[in-house]
Amino acid sequence: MSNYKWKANLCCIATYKILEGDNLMDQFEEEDISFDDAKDTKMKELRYFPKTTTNPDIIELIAYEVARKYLKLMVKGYSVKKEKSQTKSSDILVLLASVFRNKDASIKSLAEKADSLIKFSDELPRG
Amino acid sequence: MKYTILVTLIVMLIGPMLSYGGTDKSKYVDDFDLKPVIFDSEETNSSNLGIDININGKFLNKKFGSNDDGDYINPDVKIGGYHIAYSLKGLLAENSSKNPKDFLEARVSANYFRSASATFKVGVFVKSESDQKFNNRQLAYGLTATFANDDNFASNDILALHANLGQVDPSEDAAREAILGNDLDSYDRADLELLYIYNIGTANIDTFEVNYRYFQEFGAKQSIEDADLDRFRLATYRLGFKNILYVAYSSGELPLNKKDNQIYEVGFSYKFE
Repeated sequence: MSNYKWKANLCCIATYKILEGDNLMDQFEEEDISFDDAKDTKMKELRYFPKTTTNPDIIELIAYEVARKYLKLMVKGYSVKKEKSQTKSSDILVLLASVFRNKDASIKSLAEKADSLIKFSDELPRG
Repeated sequence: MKYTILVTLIVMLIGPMLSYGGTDKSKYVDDFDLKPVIFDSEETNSSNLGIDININGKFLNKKFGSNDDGDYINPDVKIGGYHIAYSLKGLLAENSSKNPKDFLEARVSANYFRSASATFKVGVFVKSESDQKFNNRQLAYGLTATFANDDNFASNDILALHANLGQVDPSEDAAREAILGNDLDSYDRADLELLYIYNIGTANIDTFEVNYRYFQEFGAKQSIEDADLDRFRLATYRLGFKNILYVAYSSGELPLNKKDNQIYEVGFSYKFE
């Protein structure tokens, strides 16, 4: 069981806002899934996840498309860096796509994966 | 009616227990689902119970991308890779004669993958197709390609295409044998699956989704054409509402399942806290 806590830090807030934002990924509405409820929401409940096919090739490729969009919006909207400079950007994208590909993965697990790979401004030393 | 309500309650209670997965899967398993389903089709007078099978994963899965040391994250990075993939899927019904999607597929493929502005993969495959009683079976092999892209015609829409081109060995297809006798030569076939998801995102409606599958035999004998065994299509339209409620309509037939079905689905999911 993961010890990662879904809370009001930049990673979780950014993940929620990117997924929910009408002008961003627009995967659900705030009035339907609140920030607190989002931690348990599964990928299969989001709008991008196919409901009429179980074709694993299609689902895998769609996961890469949405993972790339999520990462782009994260880089564009938030002051983020790699958690470890030697990590390749391609590895970050592959690992995020593996979450989006998993219908049973939760939004909390997406934030957990992002937090392990990406350093947010609230994690940087002050001063 | 009472039977339908009882079966629905059973499905709601035991369904979640039969889906193995979550985030702690084996690295060789992406999905392992045995999901109870209830369906009504044009040909049945009552609801029918079935098991929806979806098992798939990969071996020798390698991905590579350019080295980019430093703190900056490049979201436009190009990725390549290769893998061997397997899948087993289909719908088993309590009564095979009333199964509207009586088409089991077991497939292995070797693929090259690339993701840049869009994402695609190409490869070779071998696949076994059968009905659930294995009375009609055939082996297919050839080339495969899949493509996916978002933001095509509208913001956050999804378009995906999966296509196969190859040969089918119908030597154990009883329906075809009944027409052709022992003349069961291999034949060329193309099949494709087209998926489109439109993000509606209004106060009450979430998405509109279309899935279209098409199979076409090339150079079919006249007797096969006359029996409508040279071409198959199945279209599914799904409207997703809030609170995971949906309505869906499917029309057509799949290979080895010569029943032109119209299937209506109304569904919902309940999250147990």
